[in-house]
Amino acid sequence: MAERPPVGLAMTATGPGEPTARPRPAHPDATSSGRPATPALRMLGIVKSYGGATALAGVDFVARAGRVHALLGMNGAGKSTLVQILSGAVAADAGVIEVGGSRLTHQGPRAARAAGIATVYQRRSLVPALSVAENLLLGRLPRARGIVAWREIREQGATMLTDLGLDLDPQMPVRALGPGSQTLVEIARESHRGGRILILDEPTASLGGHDAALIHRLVRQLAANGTSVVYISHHLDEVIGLSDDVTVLRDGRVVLTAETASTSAADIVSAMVGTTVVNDRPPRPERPHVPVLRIDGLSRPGRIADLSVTVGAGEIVAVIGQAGDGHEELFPFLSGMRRGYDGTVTLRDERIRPHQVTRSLRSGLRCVTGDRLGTGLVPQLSVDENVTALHPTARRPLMRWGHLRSLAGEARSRFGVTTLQPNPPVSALSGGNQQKALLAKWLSGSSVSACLLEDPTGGVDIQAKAEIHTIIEDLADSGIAVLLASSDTDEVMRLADRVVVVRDGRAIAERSVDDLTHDALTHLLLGGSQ
Amino acid sequence: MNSISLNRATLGLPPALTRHAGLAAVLVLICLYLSVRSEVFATTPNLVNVLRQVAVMAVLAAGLTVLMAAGGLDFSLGSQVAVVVAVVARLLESGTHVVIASICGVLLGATFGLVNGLVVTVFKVAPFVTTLATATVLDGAALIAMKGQSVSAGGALTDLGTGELLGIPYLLLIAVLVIGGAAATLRWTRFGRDALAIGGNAVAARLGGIPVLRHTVMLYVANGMLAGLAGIMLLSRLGAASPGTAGLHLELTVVAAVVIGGTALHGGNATVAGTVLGVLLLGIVANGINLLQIDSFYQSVAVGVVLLVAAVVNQLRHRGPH
Amino acid sequence: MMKSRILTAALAATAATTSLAACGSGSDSGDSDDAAYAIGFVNADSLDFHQCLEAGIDDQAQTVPVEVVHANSARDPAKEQANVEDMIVRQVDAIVLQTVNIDSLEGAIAKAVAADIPIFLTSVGGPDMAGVAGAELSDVQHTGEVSAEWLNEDSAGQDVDVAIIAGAPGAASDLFVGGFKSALGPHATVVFEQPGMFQRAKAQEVAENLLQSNPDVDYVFVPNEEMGFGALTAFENAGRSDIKIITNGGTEDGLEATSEGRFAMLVASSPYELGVKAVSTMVDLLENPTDEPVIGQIPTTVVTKDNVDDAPSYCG
Repeated sequence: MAERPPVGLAMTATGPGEPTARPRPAHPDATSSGRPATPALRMLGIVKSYGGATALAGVDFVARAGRVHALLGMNGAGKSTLVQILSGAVAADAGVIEVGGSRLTHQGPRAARAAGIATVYQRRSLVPALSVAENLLLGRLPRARGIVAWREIREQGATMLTDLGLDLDPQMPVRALGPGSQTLVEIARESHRGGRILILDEPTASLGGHDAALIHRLVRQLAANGTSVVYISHHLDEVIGLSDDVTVLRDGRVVLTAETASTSAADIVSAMVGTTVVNDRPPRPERPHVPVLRIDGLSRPGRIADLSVTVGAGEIVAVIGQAGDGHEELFPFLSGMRRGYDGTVTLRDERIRPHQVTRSLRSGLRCVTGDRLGTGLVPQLSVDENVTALHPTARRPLMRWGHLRSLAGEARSRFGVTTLQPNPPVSALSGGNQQKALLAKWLSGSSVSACLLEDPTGGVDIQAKAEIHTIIEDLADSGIAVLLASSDTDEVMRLADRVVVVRDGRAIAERSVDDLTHDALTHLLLGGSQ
Repeated sequence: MNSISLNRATLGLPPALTRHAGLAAVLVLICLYLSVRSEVFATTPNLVNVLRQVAVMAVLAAGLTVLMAAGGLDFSLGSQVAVVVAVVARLLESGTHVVIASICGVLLGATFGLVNGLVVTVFKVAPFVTTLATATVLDGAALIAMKGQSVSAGGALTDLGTGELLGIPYLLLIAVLVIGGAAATLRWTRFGRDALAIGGNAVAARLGGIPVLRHTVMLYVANGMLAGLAGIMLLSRLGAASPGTAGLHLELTVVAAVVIGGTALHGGNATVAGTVLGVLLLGIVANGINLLQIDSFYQSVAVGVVLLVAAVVNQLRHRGPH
Repeated sequence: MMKSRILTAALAATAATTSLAACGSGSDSGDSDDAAYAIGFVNADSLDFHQCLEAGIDDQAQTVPVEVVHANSARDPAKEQANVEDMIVRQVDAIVLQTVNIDSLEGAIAKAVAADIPIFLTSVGGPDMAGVAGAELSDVQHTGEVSAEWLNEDSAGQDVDVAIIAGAPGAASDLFVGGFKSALGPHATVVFEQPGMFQRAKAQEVAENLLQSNPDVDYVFVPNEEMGFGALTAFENAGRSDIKIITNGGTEDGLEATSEGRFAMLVASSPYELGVKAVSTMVDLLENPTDEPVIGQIPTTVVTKDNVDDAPSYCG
C-alpha cells in the first residue's frame, strides 16, 4: 500500500471544505502495484421504489480499493437510498451487489457488515460517557476471565489511534471531544471493525476548517491503507480536492461517473442540476417596496454570523443554505424557541423581542417550523383544534365547539386540508395535509403581517408541494411579508423574489431572483469556484 | 381488538364509548364474578360502601388526570393528604372552627402544589423526581405534625363523613362533583384544552402563545387544593389522624387508577371516564378481596394480576389496524 | 380529657421546634458524677410507645442513679447497627435495645457480645437469645390467648361469630392471631379474617367491608389499638355499637374508650413500666452477673370498663 504518496502539498484554502490537495495516482487498474482489477464494490442495476415513487432507477456504482469515491446529488437524487441499500438498512427491489468480486447473497445490516461494508452516518453512534478507547472497542471489549481488561483496552485503543495517526487521548470521555474529533473516533472504529468499504455520509457537515482538514487526512490515510471510501458531500471544493473518482446521481440515475481529475466543478454542477430545469415561475406583480420585517445582525457563535435581511409587504425573500447551515437558525431565533442570539427584529417599526412569544404573535409575526410534529402541531389533538389554536375568538375561557368547527372549516378550505374522517387527530393525516394544517394553524388568522416559513414543503409529495406553493404566493399577494428559510433550490427559484445565500454561517450573496439562474444559485450554494 | 375497531366503524358508536370497552369489560366481568361468589356484593349498601371508600381516591385521581394531560405528574398527592389530615386534626383538636380548619387544609394543599409547580417549572426538575422528593418530605412532616401519635378530630367532621343526601353519601357527592368538574375542564374549557396542548407538544404550545409555565404551576396548585379537599374528606371518614394514613401508598393507588384508565404518562392524552373506571376497578377489587376473604398472602398477587390484565386489555385497544 | 388534649397539642407545637435540637445523637441524662453505670439505650422510633419507654428508662435511671446515653434508629435497621457500634465505642457498661425488627437483631447482639458488653432487649426478642444478658419481652401469642379466653367467658357458652382484623402478614400478626384462635372455645366461630396492615385507615376500610359481608358478627379481635380505633370508627359511623371489639394496647385514649364501653376489652401493658423494669433488671445483672440470660414477660392486664383503674399507666 506504500505506493500512495503521503498527504501534503497544501495549496489554496478558501473554506472549511477545502482539503489538502495532493498528486493523484493514475487509475488503479493501470498502476504498477499489480492491484487486482476486481473492484472492491460493484453495484449493478440497483432499483428501488417507494409506493410508486422511484428512488433509484437502475444505478451502477463501482468503488475501488485504495481510492476515495465521491457520491454527489441534490436532495432527493437518491444518495441516501443508495447508501441505505449498501449498508443493508433497506432492501433493493432489483440489482446485484458484489463485494470483492463475490455476490452478496444475503441482505440486511449484518450481511453488509460481514462483507466489510461500514457506514458512518451524520448522526453519531458513540456512547458519550465512555472513553475514546472504549468506544473504539465497543461491543468487542477485551476481557480476561470474564472481567473487562482495562489495561488491554487502553493499549489497544492507543495502538489504533497511533496507527491512524490520530492525536487523541484514549482515556478521554467522548463527551469531552469536539464534534470533529468525535467523527474521527467513529470513522476509526468502523475502519477497525473490518470496514474495507467505508461509507462516510457528509462527515464534515457543520464542521470548521481545521476539523475538516483532520478528517480529510484520516480519509486519505485509510485509503492509503487500502480501504475503499465512499464519500458523500455537498462541498464541491472538498470533493474535487479529496476524491479520486466522482459519481453524480440525479432523479435516481447516474448522470456522471468519472475520475475526478478528468472532470471539473462546472461539469459536476451541471450534472447535478440537469439541463432540463424549466423555470415554472409564474409572473408576480411589481409592488412598491414597503419594508415590513427587518432582521439585523443575527449572530450565534459557530452557527450564523451577522445575517441581516429585510422583507417588504407582499415580498417573498428566501434565505437559502445547505442542510445544516446557518439559515436553520432563523426559526429558533425568530419564533423565540431558543435564546442566546444577538440581533434585532423590527416589524413595521416596532421592535420585537422574539422570546416574548405572546407579544410578537400579537404584533402579527408568525413563525412556521419545518418540523411540523416536533414544534408546530399538537399531534394528539384534532385537526380543528390545531388549525384554530391561534384564533382569538377560539381562545375564550369556555370552549364553543360549534364556533370552532366553523372557524376550522374556513381555514381548512383556504389551506386545502382534506381528511377522510370528519375531524381526526392531526397525527393521522398524510405529510402533505399535516403541512397544510400547520400553515393553516399559524397563518389562517387575519392579523398576520409577516411570516417565516421554514422548509415549507419538506417531506410532502409533488402535488401537495405545488398546492403549498400556491398558498404561499396567495399569502404574499395578500400583502404579507414572507421570509423563507430553505435548502431547496427548486423551491427558492420557484417562489422567491429575492435570495440571500448562506454558506458556512455567513451571507455570501444577496440577489434578485431575476439576476439568478438555477445553476448560478447551485454554484453559490455548493461553493464551487466558477 | 380489530373487531372492536370494526364495530366502531360499522356501528358508528362514539369513540368515548368504545374507547374504554376493554377496561369496562374487565370491570363487568369482575362484578359478575363477585356477584356470583358473594351474595352481599351486589347489594345497594355494599355498593354505596364501596363508592364511599373510593371517594377520596377519586378526587385525587380526577385532578391528577388533568395534570397528567399536561405532561405533569405528582407523586406527592397522597403525602399532601397525610399532612392535611394531620394539621386539620390538630386544628380541630385545639378548638378551631371546622370551616376555618378546612380552609387552612385547602390552602396548605395549595402551598404544597405551588412548591411542586415552581420547582418543576423554574428549576426544570423532572416532575417524577420533584414530587417523589416532596412526598418523602411530607410523609415525614405528617409524622412531625401529629408527633407520631393519633390525633382525634372530634366530631366536627362526622356529619360530612357519614351524612347522606337522598341516600347518597356526601363524600360520594363531592367526588362526583370533582370528577364532573375535571371532565368539563378537559372538554369544555380553554384551560383544559391548553393543558392537553401542553402535554401533547409543549414547544408548539409555547410558540402558539400559551403561557406554559404559568399554566403548569396552576395545575400543580389545583392538584394541591384537591389534595387538601381529599384530606378533609379522609379525616371526616376516619375521625382521627394517625401515622401511616394516606402517604405514598395511597398515591401509588391513585397513579395506578389514572394510568390504567388510559391517560398517557407522557401527556397529551387524558380521559376522566377512564380514570373513573380505574378508580372503581381498584375499589371493587379491594372490597371483593375482603368479601371473599382471600388469604392475606394472596391479596397483593390478586390485585397485581387484575392491574396487569386491565393494563394489557387497555393497551390492546391501541393496536388497531395500522 | 379534652383539657389534656389541648395541653398535648400545645406541647407538641413547642416540642416540634425544640425536638430537632433535643433529638441530636446521644443526649445524656442522669447525674453523671454520681452514676454507678452508664447504660446505652438504642430506641427504634419516636412513636408514642417509644417515647413512653424512654420516659420509663430515664425516670428509673434517675433513681439508681445511672447515666443513660440515648440513640434513635428511626426505623432504619442499618442505623440501629451503627447506633450499637457507637455505644460500644463509648464504652457504656450495658446496652438496652428496642430493635427496629427481628432481622437486624442478630448483628446487634453479635457486636455487643464481641465487645463483651451485656445487652438487654425490650419487647422484641430473636430466635436465638443465647448471647443476651436479659430481656423483657411482650408475648403476643399469650395476648392472643388471653383475648380469646376473655371472649369465651364473656360469651358464656352461646354460639357467637368472631371476626379478626389482623396486622400486616408476618410473624407478629401470625402469633397474635394464632394464639387467639388456639384458645378460642368451641362455640365461637371465626367467620372473617382479613389483614388491616397495622394501619388505622386500612383497618377501618376492612371493618366497613366486614359490616357488608358479615353484619351479624358478635366479636372483632384486632391485635393493636390503632387498628382497633379504625374498626371502632367504622362501626360507629354505621351506628353499630353492639359489636364487641377486643384489642391490645393501653394508651390513655384506649383506656378512655374502654371505660366508655366502646372497646369491650383491652389487653393493657405499659411501655413506661417496661422501661423501668429494663433498667432495674440491667443494674441487677451488672451487679450480679448470671450465666443464663434473664428473660421476663411484660405484664399485661385484662381491662374492661369495670376495671380501667387497674390498668398500668401507659406513660408513667
